[in-house]
Amino acid sequence: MIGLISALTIGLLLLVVLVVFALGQGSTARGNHSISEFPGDPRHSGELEVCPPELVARIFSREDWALILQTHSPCLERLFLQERKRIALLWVRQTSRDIRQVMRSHTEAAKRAADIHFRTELSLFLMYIELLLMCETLLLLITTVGPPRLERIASYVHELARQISYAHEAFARSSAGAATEIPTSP
Amino acid sequence: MLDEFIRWGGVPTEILLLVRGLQTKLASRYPAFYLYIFFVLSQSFLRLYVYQWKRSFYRYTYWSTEFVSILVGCGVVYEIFRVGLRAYPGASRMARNSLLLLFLLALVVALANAANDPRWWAEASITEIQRTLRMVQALSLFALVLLFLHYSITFGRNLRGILFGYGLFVAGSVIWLTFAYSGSGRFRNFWFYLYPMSYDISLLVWIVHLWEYRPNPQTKESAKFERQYEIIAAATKRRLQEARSYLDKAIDR
Repeated sequence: MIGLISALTIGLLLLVVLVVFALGQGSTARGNHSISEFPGDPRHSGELEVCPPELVARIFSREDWALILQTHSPCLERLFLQERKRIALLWVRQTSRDIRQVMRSHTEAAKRAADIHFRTELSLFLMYIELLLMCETLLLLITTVGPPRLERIASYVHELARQISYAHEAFARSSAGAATEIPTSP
Repeated sequence: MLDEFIRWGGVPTEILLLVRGLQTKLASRYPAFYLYIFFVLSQSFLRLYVYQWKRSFYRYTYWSTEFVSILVGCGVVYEIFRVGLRAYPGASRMARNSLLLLFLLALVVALANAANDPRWWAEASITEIQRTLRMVQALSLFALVLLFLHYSITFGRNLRGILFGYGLFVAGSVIWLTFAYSGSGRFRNFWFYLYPMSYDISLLVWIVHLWEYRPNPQTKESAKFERQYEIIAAATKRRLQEARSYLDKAIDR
């Protein structure tokens, strides 16, 4: 009834996630403390250290590229592309790292929140996966195509990141609201 | 000789595990798990008795006890979920909903397949039904472990051992039953040895991890967190608002 391949896949996938889980738990036990142990640490607080928007706009802008093309200097073109690629890759890696950090921070808070919403969490998770995939795609495209041709995709990643921030903010607001409603003993 | 050793080598380990469980009072902390071990131990003796004295019933006894052991094993999965997520109501709710969704999905798939092939229920072999049940168990464990990974749930040594050992056994069972159901003679012989061996490996994992009581770390962390949660939430909110203003400017350029 159920395909043999799917049965084998499920068995093997379970083995893989178990090994990943065991390795992760092992490293935690060896001293990589969880986020909750250092709540004041800015590295764990979900801070989104994005580049200034002016810089992001320039990285993927075609204007500079058009200007360089007008010089008809292959050496300058090569140098420009190399430099832009380096900065663009750095930006994408930083964005990806920051998104992970925001999500890590979110899950740390969400896992203890009794009023968690399944659909919101699911949509956040899907959005998070989509963002990470976009970042990976961007990395690949920047390496192969170059930054000046990727303006639209970069904007899309920004839009998704903004949506995640909105959703997380709404969640944090509702959690904080619920927390203030709890009466505290004098 | 090797065959007998693999098949019966688990019995002393199970007895040792139960004795240690009672000595360290782990049996009262993880009752479903120790009930499972007790059941597996009892079924070994029952099967031996039937094999020796009422051999005609052996096949029936073997498969009946296998089914009951799967059901008791579901209790182990539930215990992993219950104890592991006790301190995390949010993650616990997510796990409950995810598992519910998964069971509904499995039910829909099973019904759809049965509708396409109505003879399946009548013709399905015991191995096939058992494999399907083990697959549902494997899927539940898979979803749970993914959730533990996503929410960075930290387990104590004892619970980690129960999860890892039982997960290994279930994954091994799914793979074994797939080969037993479809494989050729050579594969069947190979898996015939490997299946009980996978259980012996799980027993070793359990013995190592459940030798003494180790508390789950999240109990302490959760108390610490509750005192600082509002500070963290406020800080996260402020920083995200700062980040959002940057991103808004980037998009609206």
